[in-house]
Amino acid sequence: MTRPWSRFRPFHPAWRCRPEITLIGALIILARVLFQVAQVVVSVMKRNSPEYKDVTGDPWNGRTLEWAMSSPPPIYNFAVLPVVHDLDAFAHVKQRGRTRHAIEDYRDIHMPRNTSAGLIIGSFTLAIGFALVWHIWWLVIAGLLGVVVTLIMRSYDDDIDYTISAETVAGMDGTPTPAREFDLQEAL
Amino acid sequence: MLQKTLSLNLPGSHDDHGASNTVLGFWLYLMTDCIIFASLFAVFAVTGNQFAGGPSGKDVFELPGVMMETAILLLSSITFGFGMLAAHKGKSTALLAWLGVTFVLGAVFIALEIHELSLLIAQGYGPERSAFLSAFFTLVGTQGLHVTVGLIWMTILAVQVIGNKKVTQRDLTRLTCLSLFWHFLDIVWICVFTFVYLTSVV
Repeated sequence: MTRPWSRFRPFHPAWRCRPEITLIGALIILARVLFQVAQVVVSVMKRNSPEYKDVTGDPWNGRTLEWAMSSPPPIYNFAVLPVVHDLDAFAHVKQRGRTRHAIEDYRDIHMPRNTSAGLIIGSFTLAIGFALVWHIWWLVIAGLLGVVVTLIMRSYDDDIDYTISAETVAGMDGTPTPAREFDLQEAL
Repeated sequence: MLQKTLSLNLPGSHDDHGASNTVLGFWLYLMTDCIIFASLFAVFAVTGNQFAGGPSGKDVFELPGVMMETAILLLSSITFGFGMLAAHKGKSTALLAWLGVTFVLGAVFIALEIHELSLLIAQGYGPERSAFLSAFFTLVGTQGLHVTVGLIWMTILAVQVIGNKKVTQRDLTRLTCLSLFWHFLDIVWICVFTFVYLTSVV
C-alpha cells in the first residue's frame, strides 16, 4: 500500500469510490504489461515463420535512410555512402526508381576492430562513481588505477582497424535482397 | 595502415577516420573541458567575494610565487612547442630532450601549486573555510589535476617514442593532441592568474 493510502485509511466512508477507481486504473496498466509480455513471447516463438521474417529491412515502407538497411545490417552498414538530396532520402530514392550500384561505386571501407577497452573502462568508472557516493576510498583509487592502466594498455594496441576491400564489399553487397536493389548514390 | 588511410581520405568515402579526425575529436573534447572551466570560473565570479569572515585573496595570495608558477608554465608551453618542431622533423632524440624539459617544468609547477595549497590548508584556510576558498580550491585544483594527467600522458608518449626508436605517425598524432591539451591548460592558467589572483589582489 502506498504511503498516502496507509495514512488516510482507505476504506473509511469518506474515501468511497477512490479505491475502485484506482483499481480500474491498475487493471488497465496490468493489461498493458501483459500485452507487452505477450508481444515479446510471440515474437520469439514465431521468429522463424515466414510471415514474421524481415527479409527486406523495410517492412513498413519507410521513408528515411535507416530503412534502406537490411536487417540485420552488414558490418559496414552502407556499402556505398548515400548522398542525401531530400529530408526523407529513402522515400526520394524510391520515387526516382531503384538502380543497382555500379562496380566502380564501391570503395575500400576502413573499419575499426572490436575492442573491450570501452566496456572495461566503463565498468571501472561505474565502480568509481559508486565508491565516491559511498565514500569507499580504496575502491576510488583502485577504479582510477584500472581506468589509467586500461587506457595505457589500449594505447599500445596497434591492431585497431582493418580495411574491407572494394571487391569484398561488392561481393557482399551483390547478394541481392529487395532492400539492396537500388542505388542510394543515385547518378543524377 | 595509417598512411594508407590518409591517402584514401576522400570526401564522402568510408575512409574518414584518419589522423585529422583524431585531432578534430580532441578539439571537441577540449571544448567540453572549456565548459567545465567556464562553469568553475562562473562559480568563482559569483562566490569569490563571500569570505564568511575568513581571509580574502588579498590576505592569502603570495603573488611572487604565483608569478613564478605562471612563468614556469608558460616556459613549458614554449619547450613543448620546440619538441613538436623536432617531432615533425622526425628527430626523436631532440623531441625526447624537449619533452624531458617540459616534464620537469610541469612537475615544478605542480610542486609549487601543491606547496601553495597545502600552506593555505595548514593555516586553516582550506576549501571548507568560505565560499571564496571553496571556489578557489576547486578551480585551481581542477587545473592542477589536468596538468598532472598531462604529465602522466607525456611520460607514456615518451616511453612509446623510445620503444618505437622513431617518431611514428601514430606518435605524432598523439603528441599533437597532447600539445593542444598542454597549450589549452596554459591558457586556462593565464585566466586563473588574471581573474583569480590579480583581480583579488588589486
